[in-house]
Amino acid sequence: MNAPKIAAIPQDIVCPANGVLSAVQAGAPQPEAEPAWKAFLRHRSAVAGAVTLLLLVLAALFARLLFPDDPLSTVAAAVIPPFQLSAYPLGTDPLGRDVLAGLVHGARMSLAIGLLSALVSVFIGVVVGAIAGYFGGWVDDVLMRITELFQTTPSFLLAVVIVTIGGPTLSMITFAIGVGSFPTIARLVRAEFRWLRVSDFVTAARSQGYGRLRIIWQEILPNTLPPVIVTTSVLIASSILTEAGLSFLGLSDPNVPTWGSMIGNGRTMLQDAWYLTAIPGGLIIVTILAINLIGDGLNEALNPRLRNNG
Amino acid sequence: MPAGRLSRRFVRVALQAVPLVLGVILLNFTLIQLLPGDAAEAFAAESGAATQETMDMLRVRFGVDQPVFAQLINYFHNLSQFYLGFSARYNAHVTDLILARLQMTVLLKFAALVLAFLLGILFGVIMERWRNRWPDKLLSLLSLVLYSTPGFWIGLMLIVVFSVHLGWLPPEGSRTLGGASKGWAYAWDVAQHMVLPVVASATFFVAIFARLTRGAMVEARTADHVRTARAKGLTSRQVTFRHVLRNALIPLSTITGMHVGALLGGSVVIETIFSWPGLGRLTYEAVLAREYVVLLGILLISSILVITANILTDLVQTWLDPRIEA
Repeated sequence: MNAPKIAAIPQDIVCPANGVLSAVQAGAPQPEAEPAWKAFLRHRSAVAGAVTLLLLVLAALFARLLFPDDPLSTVAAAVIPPFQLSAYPLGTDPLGRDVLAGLVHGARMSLAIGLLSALVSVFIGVVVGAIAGYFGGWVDDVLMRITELFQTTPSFLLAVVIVTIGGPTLSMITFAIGVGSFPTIARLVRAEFRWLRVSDFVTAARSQGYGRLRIIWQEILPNTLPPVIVTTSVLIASSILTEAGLSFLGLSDPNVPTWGSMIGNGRTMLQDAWYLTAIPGGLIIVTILAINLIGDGLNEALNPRLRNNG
Repeated sequence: MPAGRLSRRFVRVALQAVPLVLGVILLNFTLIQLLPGDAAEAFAAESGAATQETMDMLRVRFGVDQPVFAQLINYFHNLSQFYLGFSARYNAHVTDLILARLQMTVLLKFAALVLAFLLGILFGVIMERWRNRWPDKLLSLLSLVLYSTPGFWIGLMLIVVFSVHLGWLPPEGSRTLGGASKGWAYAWDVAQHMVLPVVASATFFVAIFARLTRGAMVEARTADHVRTARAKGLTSRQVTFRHVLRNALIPLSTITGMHVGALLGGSVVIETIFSWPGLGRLTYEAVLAREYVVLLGILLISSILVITANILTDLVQTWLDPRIEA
């Protein structure tokens, strides 16, 4: 019943807004619309962020090639300060474990959980927001109440409770972080759907007899993507921070090093070896900073209101 | 302003919060149902061993042998009497445990919020005043870095600098053991213990408030009533504080309301680092001890705190912005 009845008209005529930007720009055609990626590349700090993040991702992907040994095994004397031995450039911790190897292996966990839990948020948020915004009425009321509930519950506390009950596995941590931050996406997508469902191109699509699912999925959803992409980058950054907090508290897989758990272990040595705490924290800052710079660049590249002004 | 407007608004937002409170209770009840084992098993594990008869008896006593709906009614009944369960490990009622710690967290977080507000507004005003010149660029960079830094890591670095190396401030606890227990000496002692955790809790929010104040002031600067004020011959300072800043405070209060939950959640790590005897520290202890009743009680109370804070925020906004309906 939701299948399209007439599909003879080429989609770009029915939906001139399939490009990421065009829906919002429909009112004001741009004479020299440059592609979003070019606008992004003009943003020097965003490019710097992207390069930094790329290096971190590469390090994470090739961690097992770079440091094939178990990063949790003792390899040298305990507490060697950084920049003393070329074999262990960042030194060792109280158990004689290579700090650099721990950081590189820890990047896997931080980046994976950051990305995956942001995807969990985006998935729940898009489904909830699209349904609430498109259908309105009591469906909207119920879904927004639930969204409000998760917005009210302190998300870090919720994550702590869920991981404590469910155990510190990758999937449980990802779910715990993701479920707490879907309201941002849900509200965003809902707002976009509310005004796009009455826009001309959706009315046109509806008059063509397109089914609801097709209108939601193929016509409206692509137009909500730019703000969702920008928000996703913010969510990835905050998820990495949340994961760091959780693993600092010991709520992470004990068999895998994470940046947060390295800070937690270094904490007992603040007096004599503060760098054991400072180094992983510094890496977290660099990562989050890189992602936030990318987010700012994306925002300027994808937000037509900002682009028209500048 | 008519005094009745605020109280009418209060009744309205309080009524709107009722379904939210019910939702929070239902969420907690759901989490309780997901707990490994039931209350009887937890109790038996605490006391060492129990026979099948004892277990059955405990199940009847805790009501876990009843259907889920009856348990939910029972849960509501308990909550109406402020009963959140009994912690075997602490040998105390969860409500009492939480209430004993609550004020320390509220004290810490309130101080952090005030500090973040003052510093954030100060930074924002400076950034807007010298827009696109070096003070703006410097503070923009600083807030970007603060925005990207985990507060607990800042806390640890503050301990390294101010406690370990300089020895100026105490790194943990809320008072000196054996020190004064009342009067100004006591207040001074607690204040010294508060400095580092307050700063560590505030940094992230300083960044948010600074960026927001700057943006809102840039926008307010071009508004009609500001142009009028300037045309009337008010000085630049009068315009900035009386007209521009007041309008910039409205979005600031919205954002504050949105971040109360983050502030409370963040207290888990901050209070753990500084051994601050508040709810966050209690959360950490409950995690270590796998004391689920305490954890869920904290989650419930914290959510209700957030709802209360949101009602307060709404009232502040109604007071600031006369256009909001009662």
